[in-house]
Amino acid sequence: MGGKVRLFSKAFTNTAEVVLPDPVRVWVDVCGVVNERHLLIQGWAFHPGHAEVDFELTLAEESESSRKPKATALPHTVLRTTRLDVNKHFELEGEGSQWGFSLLTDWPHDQLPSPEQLALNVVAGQERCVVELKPFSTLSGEELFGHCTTWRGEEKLRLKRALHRHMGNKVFEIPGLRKLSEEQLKQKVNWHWENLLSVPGKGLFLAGWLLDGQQELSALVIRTADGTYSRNLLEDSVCYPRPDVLEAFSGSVDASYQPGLYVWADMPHLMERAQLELVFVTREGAVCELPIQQKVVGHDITLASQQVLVNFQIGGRDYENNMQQHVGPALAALWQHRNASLGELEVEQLQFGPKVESPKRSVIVPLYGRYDFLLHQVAQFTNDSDFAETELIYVLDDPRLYNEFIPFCHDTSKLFPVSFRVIYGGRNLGYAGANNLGARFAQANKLVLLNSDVIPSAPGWLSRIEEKVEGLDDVGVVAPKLVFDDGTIQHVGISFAKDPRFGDLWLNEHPGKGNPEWLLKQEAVTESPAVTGACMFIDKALYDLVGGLDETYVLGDFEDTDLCLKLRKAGYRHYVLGDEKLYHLERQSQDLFDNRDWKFKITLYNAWQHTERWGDLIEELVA
Amino acid sequence: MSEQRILIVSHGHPDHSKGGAEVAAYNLFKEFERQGLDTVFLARTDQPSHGGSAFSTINTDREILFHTHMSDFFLFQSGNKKHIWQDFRGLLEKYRPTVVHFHHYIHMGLELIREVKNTLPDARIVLTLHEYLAICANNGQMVKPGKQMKLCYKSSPIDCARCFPERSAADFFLREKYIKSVFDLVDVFVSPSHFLIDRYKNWGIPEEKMVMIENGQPEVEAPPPRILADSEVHGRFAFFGQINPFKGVDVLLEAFKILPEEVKEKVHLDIHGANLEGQSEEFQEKIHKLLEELSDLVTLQGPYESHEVGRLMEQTDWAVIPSVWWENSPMVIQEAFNHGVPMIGSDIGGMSEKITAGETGETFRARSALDLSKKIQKLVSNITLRDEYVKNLKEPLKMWDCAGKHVVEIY
Repeated sequence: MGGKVRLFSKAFTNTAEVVLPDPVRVWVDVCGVVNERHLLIQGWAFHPGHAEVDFELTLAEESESSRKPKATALPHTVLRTTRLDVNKHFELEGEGSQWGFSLLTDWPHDQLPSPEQLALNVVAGQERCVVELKPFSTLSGEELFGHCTTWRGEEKLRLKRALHRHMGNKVFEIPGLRKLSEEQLKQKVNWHWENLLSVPGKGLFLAGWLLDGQQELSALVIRTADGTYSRNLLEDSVCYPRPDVLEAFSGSVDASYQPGLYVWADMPHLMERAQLELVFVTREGAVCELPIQQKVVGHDITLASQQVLVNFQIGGRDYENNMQQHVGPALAALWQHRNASLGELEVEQLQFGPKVESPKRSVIVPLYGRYDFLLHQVAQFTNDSDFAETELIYVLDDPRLYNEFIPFCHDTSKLFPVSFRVIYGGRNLGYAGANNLGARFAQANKLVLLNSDVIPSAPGWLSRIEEKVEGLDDVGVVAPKLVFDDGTIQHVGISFAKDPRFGDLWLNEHPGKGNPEWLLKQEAVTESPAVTGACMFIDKALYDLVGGLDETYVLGDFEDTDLCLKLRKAGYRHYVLGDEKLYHLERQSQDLFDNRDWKFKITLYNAWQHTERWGDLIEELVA
Repeated sequence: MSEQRILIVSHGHPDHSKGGAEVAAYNLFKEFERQGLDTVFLARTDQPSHGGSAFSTINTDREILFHTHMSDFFLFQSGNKKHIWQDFRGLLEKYRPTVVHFHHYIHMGLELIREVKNTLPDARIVLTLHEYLAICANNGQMVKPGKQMKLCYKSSPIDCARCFPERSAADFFLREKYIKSVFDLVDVFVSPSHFLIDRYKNWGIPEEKMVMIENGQPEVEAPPPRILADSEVHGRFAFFGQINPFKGVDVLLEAFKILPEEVKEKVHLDIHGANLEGQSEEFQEKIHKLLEELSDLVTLQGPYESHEVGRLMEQTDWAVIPSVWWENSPMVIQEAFNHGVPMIGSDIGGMSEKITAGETGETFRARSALDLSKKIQKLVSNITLRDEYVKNLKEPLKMWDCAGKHVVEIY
């Protein structure tokens, strides 16, 4: 910029005998005020010998120490624009010469500036020219582009972006902007919204399709009646193919056009029943404001979660970004909102059989989906003397089961001499929440987290494992070997691996899973980066130290490894005991959603959260 | 020999599907086990596994199920390659077999063979060929697609592309190159028939890499000849096997339909066949219609367990194998001979190789119901013929012998 270039104008080459340096040519068309707080000075300027000129804007302020006013430079934005009228007048040539200018600066004062207060200098090389300003007057609507009849569309858009940077969403409230009716806009652009989920205090999830093959729109924002705005939803929204839409509007866009759209917009000030408007802004600067009805999300968020996930495509280059920017934040908002809106738990406790005084350990078993596992566990615990000193806690985590479950517990405790306690939180808390609730009420200082579908292979396992733990260093969590019903390995520790199909996500892996036991070399004790939550031994003090299991994972996934990694970060180590074996009938206690697709996407969401938190540590552990 | 560790890979477990290849692979495994060899049977299954694991076990912890699938039947591509490069590799690393004997690669992926070379370059790789899968993209049958099911004598990219208009000769060229690149890793090919060896030799497998070993048979006591009632003839015929268009059950039924009335009074046909319900509706209808018309001399007995074969053979005078494709070495021929039952079979491929016409049975012009019908008439009209044929039957290769041949000659 600013270097010497060839002369652009025939007019000047004709008068080349003029010896003096060419002057800066400059003119101000208008000195405008926009939304009372911003100044917009427009005109044209060039120097025949320079490719570009610079603009300096200074404000003369009264100074206390000196009589001379002090000049401070005003930060500003300059946009150069095409002015065919100027080119023509000066017979300027040169492709893309943009001699028009729009200079935008903030004016945080109540009184409008007088032309004398401001000084605009145009500088080209050694030369400088003081520009005469005009009195400031308010600009509105199309006047913003007053002398821009020959501006290119791109240039108008740049001015609007600059205005947006300077004044934020007030840009949509500049008086006098041209308004379009829905019908007028639909002549150029088409759309249909299938879903607008509103999560109060969090944001909005908008999904549907938008056909704008000619790129008429420059912005799409959601506005609340109290004047808060979403970001521009056209920037960083997810687009995906919609053959049905392309078919219905065949011929209007290219076959490669992707009309499908979904987007998450953070709106932390969103109120529960806010009146919402969609504001479409065209490249020409016109606006179309349409009311839109949202669905306010309550505490049952199953449907909403599915709606967020339905069009989320796994794999492909953008999928991680889509997870990070849209699906992840939307799901996090839904689940946080759910947990917040449910309020405090009303916990019910029931004791079956005589209470175990000063137990050596508390075994916590959450129950979800089916409860007959309690019978099978209790039947196996019966001939195990350890249970005389064990506080066995069943956390009922499924309100649908309550009515049948409580009488079932009575019957079972009449017939089997194993005492147990039932804790019921009144609602579904998830795997982490249920265990945390159990831990809250546990009396022993040793905890055993146990899945309901885990059955011992021999009595005495609790005390044997505890004894083995005694000899280990820096103990965090200890877990036994778990095998499937056919005797093949289910768990001998958890490791982490990436799957090329899912990009940079770390997924949990069970090495050796499905192998017959004889095939695996088994040590009595091995250290493992993490162990399963299906059966974990941990001191209550440690459990409490790291805040128990993290409840932000959805539907029971990754909480166990998250706990292990929290402890690992604090310096503790985890062990698998290869010579202690329990059966784990994995996945028989969980068929939450028949739609595997949805469950699978949730798993990936959890993996994403887990990777965000622990990626660096995992990197070290698997190295 | 005692240091051998033998991994047998089969595309199915006989507890789930009773194809000849699965049974042959399993019998070999059981025989190795009986002889005290260190062996593992890995069988593919389409059933879901516990906890999504690639493996589970069945019967004993030496019989491992492999929960995997194929995504491309043209190039035999695994549908879950991680199963190959992670799970199967892990199995190889842990078991470290000295011999990996594939009885198939279909439903699992040819990559398995590649993976053995990757992980255990010194392990001996053996592949038993049960049909013409590598040569022919029409389910390895070497029968041309279409209603007529014309027999195919030789493959070439151009000819194959004519059978599959949606593919080009170049596709078949690449297919052949690809499969051969994997077959190059195989040390020995085993085939239970010379006919199949010939076909693979013509296709380009070096003859010296191929060994013929018949499928072994269990030790059984051949039943005493059935006592015929007065004026009764040897008229009990039986079909054993799958009921599908390749097996020619329709030809067999047509042959019975055109028997002269006086012969029809002397004969009966039992169909011990499985899987009719899995066939196209058109085919099912055709079979059901014929069965209905022949309801007084044909009985559809349905599927049977392999341990029931002896009892069923006892009630059989003649077993029939009317296949309209080449076959390899059909298990039923060996089973029938093992139980002292002579055969009638099509005069092509593995059937004409195994059945010597006029000595151990009869052959008829493949696909000709008329010729088959004539042969049936001949057999029931001559009351001493069966005894003569039975006398000529040679004892088939026994299981222990078959296993021994594998260990000594192949591994």
